[in-house]
Amino acid sequence: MHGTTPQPRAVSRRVAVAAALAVTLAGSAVTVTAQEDDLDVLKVAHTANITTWDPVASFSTEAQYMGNMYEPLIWATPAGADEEYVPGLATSWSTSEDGLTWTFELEQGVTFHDGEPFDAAAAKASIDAARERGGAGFIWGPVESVEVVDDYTIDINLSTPAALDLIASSTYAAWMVSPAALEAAAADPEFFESGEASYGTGPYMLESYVPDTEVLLTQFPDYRLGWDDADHYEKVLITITPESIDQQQALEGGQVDIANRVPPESVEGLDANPDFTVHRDPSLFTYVGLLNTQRAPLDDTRVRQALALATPYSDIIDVSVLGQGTQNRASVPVGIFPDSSNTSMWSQDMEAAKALMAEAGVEGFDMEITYAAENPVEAAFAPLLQDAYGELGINVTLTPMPFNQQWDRSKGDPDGRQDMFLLLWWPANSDAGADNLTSLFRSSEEPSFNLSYWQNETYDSLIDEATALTGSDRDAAQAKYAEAMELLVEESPGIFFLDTSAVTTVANTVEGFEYNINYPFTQIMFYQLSPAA
Amino acid sequence: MAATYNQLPSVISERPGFARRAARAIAHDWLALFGLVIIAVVVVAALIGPLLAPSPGDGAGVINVDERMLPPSLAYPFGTDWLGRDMLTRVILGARIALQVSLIVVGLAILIGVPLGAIAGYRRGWLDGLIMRITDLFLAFPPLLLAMAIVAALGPGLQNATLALVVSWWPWYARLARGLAVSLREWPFVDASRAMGIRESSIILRHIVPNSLGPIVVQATIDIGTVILAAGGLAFIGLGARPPAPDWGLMVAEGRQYILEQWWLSTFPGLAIFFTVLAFNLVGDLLLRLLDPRQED
Amino acid sequence: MIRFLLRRLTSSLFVLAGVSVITFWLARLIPSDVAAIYIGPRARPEQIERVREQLGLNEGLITQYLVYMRDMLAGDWGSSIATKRPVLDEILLRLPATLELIVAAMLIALPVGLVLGMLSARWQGRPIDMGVRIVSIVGVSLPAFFLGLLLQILFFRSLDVLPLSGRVDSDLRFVSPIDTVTGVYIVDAAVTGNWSALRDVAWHLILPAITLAAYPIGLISRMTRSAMLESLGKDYIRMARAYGLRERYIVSRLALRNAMVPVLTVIGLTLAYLLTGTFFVEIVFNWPGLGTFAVRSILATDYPAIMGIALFGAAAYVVINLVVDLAQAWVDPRIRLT
Repeated sequence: MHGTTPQPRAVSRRVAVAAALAVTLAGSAVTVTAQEDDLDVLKVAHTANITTWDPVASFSTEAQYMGNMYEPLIWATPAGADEEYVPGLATSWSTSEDGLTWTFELEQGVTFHDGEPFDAAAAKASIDAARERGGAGFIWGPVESVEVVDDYTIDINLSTPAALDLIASSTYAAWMVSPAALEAAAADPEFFESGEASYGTGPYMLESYVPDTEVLLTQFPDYRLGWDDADHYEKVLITITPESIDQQQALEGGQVDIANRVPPESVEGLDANPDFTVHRDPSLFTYVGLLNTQRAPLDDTRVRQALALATPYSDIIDVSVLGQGTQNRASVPVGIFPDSSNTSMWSQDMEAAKALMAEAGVEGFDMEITYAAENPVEAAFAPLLQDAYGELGINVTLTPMPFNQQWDRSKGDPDGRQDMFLLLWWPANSDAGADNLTSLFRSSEEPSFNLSYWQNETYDSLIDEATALTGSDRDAAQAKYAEAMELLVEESPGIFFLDTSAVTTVANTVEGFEYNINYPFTQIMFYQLSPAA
Repeated sequence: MAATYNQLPSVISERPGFARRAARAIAHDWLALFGLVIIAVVVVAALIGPLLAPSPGDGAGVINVDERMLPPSLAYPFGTDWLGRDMLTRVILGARIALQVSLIVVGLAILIGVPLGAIAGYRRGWLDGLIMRITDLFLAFPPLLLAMAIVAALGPGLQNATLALVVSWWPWYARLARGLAVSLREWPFVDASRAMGIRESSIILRHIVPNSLGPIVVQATIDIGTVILAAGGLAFIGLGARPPAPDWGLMVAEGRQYILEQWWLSTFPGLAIFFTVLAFNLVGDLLLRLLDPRQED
Repeated sequence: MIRFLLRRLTSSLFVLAGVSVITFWLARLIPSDVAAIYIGPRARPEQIERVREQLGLNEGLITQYLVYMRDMLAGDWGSSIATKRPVLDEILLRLPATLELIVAAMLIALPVGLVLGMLSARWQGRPIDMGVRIVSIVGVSLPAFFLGLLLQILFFRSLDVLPLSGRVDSDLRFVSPIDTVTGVYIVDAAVTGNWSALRDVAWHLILPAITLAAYPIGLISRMTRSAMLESLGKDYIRMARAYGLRERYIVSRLALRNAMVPVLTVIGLTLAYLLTGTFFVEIVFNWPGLGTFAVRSILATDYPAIMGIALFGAAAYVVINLVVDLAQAWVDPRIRLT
């Protein structure tokens, strides 16, 4: 494809080969220098691939690496901590009376990986870049402007009150990036993609990257929190391993110390194994099945409710994640705002389902369920849906496809769209009201994630009111969201399958692992870890 | 591709007692007998599988979550999978998919390739050149690579995989048929027929085709096995039949993540592929020896 | 000979051109909106339109093809949608790992296949013939992906003798890293005297290479056997026997020489098989080569990568065929006349 490099080079094959060999030499993570014998290297097997090295555009699995190389202004704390938010690159923050201006005091004496100093100008540049072109830039929606007050203070002005502490601690689009790098990227969109360096303030820097194969991180010597307080790892080698079986083999063979996805069947065995500890933590990942509400007979609420009654929720949890999950309520996982623990959920009742179908006068129909072929959880439970809905006389076709294509099809020609879209979802930050409930179910002109194509005015106004209240009156917002969630469950534009647990298997040679639910894709924070005594 | 038979064919119609020689060869060669028995089993499974299998359900096996992940036992000779489906049932049902795909692919490849090749080889001239250039083009791709690219372009699924395999396979038969036609047209009686002014189509039908049958049948038999391997490979990667179809290659892939503990999930479908392909190779081998005296022991 | 060479070269070039047309056309068959995939799910319509312009998707088909060819010949094979880096670079980056595997498999299969075939022909009808026949038929009937899994279960799980997957122990790169000379680890380790790494890499290479070599062993031994038998049946062989020449000389010198042409053909076929067989073996053993890249690209519908690989594979195959043809023409002068 032409046009992706700034100037098409007219190079001969031989030079291209030489260039590629050079890339091999540079990109190969086999460095000649690292010969120290007592090098503390943490080895990890992880499924996370890199879609981009650009911290502003990042919105996917690469957050596992980004979250260790870049830092936000504020960190959201793991469940059960005393404070909800702790300082990141901001030492303190406050709001004005009217809630429309937030002032952040920034930490002094911090430098980026490339040597540039971190200051108010850098913070402003980072936030502006995120607002303008961030992959998750929408989180900064309420922001009108960012002002530099002095070298280490910024003011963020809002158009409506919003929970800026939550926004500034997001898992995407909230990292501070070296202004020099941002400038270079503005001139050259491919600047970050070489994967040769990182430009954050985080504890680890990118040393090298072999696409689809591995990422090598090394300590950032000038990290603001220092390295003397504990025995940290000097390097982290992450082998990109999408297959769970390969991860298990690597773990048991001693090739890696941590694995983020082992086959669910093996968890028990690993747990019993004295060499490993399996950490199971509630996570923000949830599976939902979006029903095409624009197409008969799914436009009839009773039919959708019948489907909700026919779904074998506990079997799904047993089969796909071996019990390491819980049934989901209204697409909002438990553990973040808004709290869904009191929201209703359906249970399987075949008789009631059949009765509803009869009431709606629907005997049976054809239904196509699309899901991501590369997702083993969906692949495992999709046949259960086919089986269960079959009892209602519904003829289900399962269509696995690469997620891109599944996605593409759902936006395309309405006649060609699916009947149910199986979706793995996670929020961009810890506000599932502004994210899950809005992105997935609020009506919009062009469906972005509202792949049930649902249009319900009551729901829309409830959501809008709740969002507006979030910055000023949390409790009132919670009440509105609760109402919206009940409506969602009752109208059933989606089937709410399960919330999954994050399962991290750690060898007992590594200590300090703690999962932070607020950063779903930054599953492992390397700075916390140290070799066992 | 398995070995291609490219030596001069014997003229079957002139060798006496083909059936007798065949019977004697089989009796002497237990391997070939073994192959025939397996083929018979597979064909029976393909034809009346749903009647034989313990719990076929809708065609993919009955789901029974309470009985999931059970190792092979008397009740479940091949064990059960993660949804509790009986593996023996699924392997039996898979025979139909395997045979269907391979017979369609080989059949269509012959229907397309043989006439083209025969005409090219008999007529020679510019037609020959053209057809051969086209087959060269298709044969320029390493086997399966073209099929993978086609399925990647069209989207995964059994139909697309079958189509892709037909496109990949027909050139071999065109080549084979052409080679046979080229050598056959020099034979004395063919030459004589032409000299006598007998119509070309008649010559082709009466002499060329029957004498080409032998090598083509041998090749086809072996190819049924090879196509099953290829289709299995495509399914293993995810380009073939889609879940929950009981396709053997797909089952091996699905079972792979459980390979360390629940070994039976990948093993039995894999063995099914192996023995079926083995059987066709053995029988093909037998036919090869029957048709060419030089290969006989 | 020169004229033969030139003739084959020209036809190879035509074939390559034709192959590029096929891959280009296949690429255009892909149903999904390429530009949208390139950018990612949360793109806005203007962004998608901008990428379409950038990728030249709005031009006519012929124009697109010509631009595609021009770029290709210049070394610009487009960028992978998944990694955003040039496709040619990605292919060349992974090539050494695949070459290592293919060459290792060839080094195992060729001698084993030839020897088995010769033994089988020499002792035709005896138990050893039967044994070789079984081995070779089993070899061509076993699916590579299945054999790989079986070997993994046997040698890793049950016996715990060989490593399960990957190219090299992950500790090794820090303790005794391999200096990159060619990218082929086993060569680099040997060349730089890195013995512990050499042993480790060789150990990792064993199972995948054996898995990949199974089919070729079957193929080569069968072909060698039949070619040898035919050759041994010839008149001049009987003459040589009548003259009292030693059997071993007859078999290994006279008969083999004449069997070379079909044997070379089957070597070409073997290399062809290896080009795609490696896909399956690499997946099962988590070997970071072209095969893994190809399969992942196919599953992600990364069409620039897929077409790049298809073209690369076809080009490699054309070169292999050319070399085999030349070798055959060298061995048997009669071929030069075709």
